[in-house]
Amino acid sequence: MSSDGAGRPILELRHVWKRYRLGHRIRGVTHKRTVKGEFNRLLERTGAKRRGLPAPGHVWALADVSLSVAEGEALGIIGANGGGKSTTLKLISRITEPWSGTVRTRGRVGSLIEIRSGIHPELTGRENIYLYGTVLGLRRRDIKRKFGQIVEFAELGPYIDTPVKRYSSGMEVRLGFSVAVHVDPDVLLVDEVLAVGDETFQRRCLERLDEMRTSGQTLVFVSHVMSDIERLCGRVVYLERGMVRAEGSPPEMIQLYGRDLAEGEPAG
Amino acid sequence: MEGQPQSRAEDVRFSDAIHRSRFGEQLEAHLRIPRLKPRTDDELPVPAPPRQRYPVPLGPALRELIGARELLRTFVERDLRLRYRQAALGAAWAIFQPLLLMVVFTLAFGRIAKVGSEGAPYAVFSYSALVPWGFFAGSVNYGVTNIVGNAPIVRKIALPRDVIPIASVLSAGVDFVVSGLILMGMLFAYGYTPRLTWLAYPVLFVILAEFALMATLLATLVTVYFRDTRFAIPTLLQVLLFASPVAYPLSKVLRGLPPGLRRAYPYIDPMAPLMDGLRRVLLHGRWPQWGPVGSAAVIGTASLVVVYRWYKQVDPRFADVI
Repeated sequence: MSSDGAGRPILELRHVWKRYRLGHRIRGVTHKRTVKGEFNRLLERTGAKRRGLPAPGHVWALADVSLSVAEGEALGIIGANGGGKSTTLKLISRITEPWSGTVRTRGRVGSLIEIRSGIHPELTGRENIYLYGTVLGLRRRDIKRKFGQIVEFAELGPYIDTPVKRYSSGMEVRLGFSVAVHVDPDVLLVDEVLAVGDETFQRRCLERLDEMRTSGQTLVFVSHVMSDIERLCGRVVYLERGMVRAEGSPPEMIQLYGRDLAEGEPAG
Repeated sequence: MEGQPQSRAEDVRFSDAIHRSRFGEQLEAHLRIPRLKPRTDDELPVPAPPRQRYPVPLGPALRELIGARELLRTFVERDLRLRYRQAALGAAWAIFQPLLLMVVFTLAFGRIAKVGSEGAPYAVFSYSALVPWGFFAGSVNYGVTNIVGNAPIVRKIALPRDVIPIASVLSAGVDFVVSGLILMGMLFAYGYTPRLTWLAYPVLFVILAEFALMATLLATLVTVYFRDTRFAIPTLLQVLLFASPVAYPLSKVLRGLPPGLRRAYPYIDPMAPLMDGLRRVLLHGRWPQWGPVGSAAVIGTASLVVVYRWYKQVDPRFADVI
């Protein structure tokens, strides 16, 4: 599958499909599973059938996607919104399971996907480092060892025993990111997290990722910022509406993607 | 007026700066990205495969759970911290809850209704059953609260999802230990001394814990799909509290039943022999009714295994639903 197969893939997706139920915004009903919601869903389905329309039950976030990443490789995933980038990362990190197909990974997968979700506002910075660290799969003894580094990277020294609800949003993000980059996973997934925090911190995060990559960290990187993709990734997969549109070197893919965007209506 | 840019020159400089910054680049990148329509059934290049089942065998699920024991500990710690943070009386609430019920029960059932207490002081009589009952009810209640409270984590982070209900049971277990110490103090104050039958207490408690875990897993699972549990669970627990011999002796409950049902009742409601047993081994120095207790143990274990397997089968999809 991979263009330059240096070693056995550390991560592999084979014919992966992912289906999502559609939200019901028609008649102001949300997608929540309530008796009313289910009833409306039934009505809509039979209504659509009677009028000879397809049942509006679901969409495909991923359709028959296969890709693989070799150890030490940095793969970039690009594509328009709704392309399936985040879904791909969710499947790799096993946040959710596919409709069909196999997802295989070796070793520990660490993910920088919305780093604020693992942080609890009522707890202090210190407590949150332990909470989020163990949630990400670190042992407490390792957290204790790295505690100084984590606090230093997050620049939170004097505030570490303050509840996070008193933090600024920038401080909160720095805390989350700092824990997440100190997890030392075998595969690191990064989803657009560099779009948060202040600019200097972002640059430092980028540097840190760059460092990790050169030291042989396997990386899967999702971003809309093409210069970051070009800087970090050795190979790029271009996803379009849930399918692999193309796969190749960063400049090629970025060019292709740019052309699709310029045409407005991407081919598909 | 104040917030408007003051001159055109400044305006230009500002936008220049934006364009040169990473933020500018990101902003531009995001503005250029269209949102494409999701793919529907008719736009698939090949027909979609049927849904694939991913069986979760019990062995690996348990191994994963053992691997997550530090996470479990962190969750329990966090639960306890959060529960009593910014509560002026702190952990004392763990004691107050059953204690307050005891006072109410003593007044209502001991003094007014005079349901009897098998010779023991009514306060000790009710408290000795309210403590284990509080553990059961607390587990289920915490389970429902915790799965709702941890929804962002479930949605965004891969972690074994059974950790959340199990942590709820464990943190209810901590409350149990605290109020259990009060019970101990009370027993000694009333002149009770340890007896051989106290040895049966841990056995009965383990069976109760099985039921607590099973009920918590079930409540968590249902809550992921239907938030109705937030109203339904407290109501159900209240019904169960009065359906079990907590506030009144088992003998009184039996006397109220038709004669044909008296023998069967302790087998039908597993809570009955457990609550009765946990009390009588402490207060009366009598061994539990082993027949119904044994049947409760079998029901508890079997239902726990069934519910746990069901939970593990469904929990990979929690992130899409919750």
